[in-house]
Amino acid sequence: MLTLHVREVEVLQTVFADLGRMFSDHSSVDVVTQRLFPRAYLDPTEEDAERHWQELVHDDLVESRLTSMTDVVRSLDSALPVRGMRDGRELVLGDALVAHWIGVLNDARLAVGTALNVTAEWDFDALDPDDPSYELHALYAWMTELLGALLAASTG
Amino acid sequence: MEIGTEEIVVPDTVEELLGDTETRLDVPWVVIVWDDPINLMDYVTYVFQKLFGYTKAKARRLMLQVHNEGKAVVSSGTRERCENDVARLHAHGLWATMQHDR
Repeated sequence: MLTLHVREVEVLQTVFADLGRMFSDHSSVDVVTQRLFPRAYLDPTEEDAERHWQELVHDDLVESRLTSMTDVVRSLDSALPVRGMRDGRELVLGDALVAHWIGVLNDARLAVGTALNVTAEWDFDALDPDDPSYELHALYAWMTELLGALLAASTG
Repeated sequence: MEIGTEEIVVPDTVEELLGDTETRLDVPWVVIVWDDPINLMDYVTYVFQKLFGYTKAKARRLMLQVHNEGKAVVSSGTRERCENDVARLHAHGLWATMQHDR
């Protein structure tokens, strides 16, 4: 059972819609796309193998991400009001859906984190609230907490 | 050329002589997972359990190796097997690459 505020539902719907669009954009070559679809071979003498492997797996990688995304978005769209909680929304997540949520949320963190150039030293509490990217950092911090909660719920 | 009644077949290329070099020398490939600043330790542990069927303890040890040493070998085998493992790891957002085991 995942309980969110209606505003949180709206934020996730927007983030996931953007992410879905990015997955589907095959012409994209920015750092976020590179992080989501990295190379398999670092050895420059394996360029043929790299190209062959990308041709083999890239479409499937996009497809599986979009499939998970569809299920996650559907669960958000069908979230129900919570009795006793103003503007609360409740999602009932079975095991399969929790796994999809974990994957999609992690992809969103990867996308936002890469765009923010998050490093190992990232510390939300040390950020200046007047920084123009503060809200994006706040989103990243919140998605991190949510992912942690879902992971704890899935592994018991 | 014929010696006696036997015909000697001379291979056209060195490759033909050696056969499939990779198989013959049995050089395995290894899959490496690299540390990154975004993926949570709990998430990496979860992925190792999910993809390789490890116990939570083993998955956690492997995750800590990635975290503390910057990288860890997570599987090895033929090129095909490793390419498949890399694809599965990428599908879960981990940064993995493959190379010859030296």
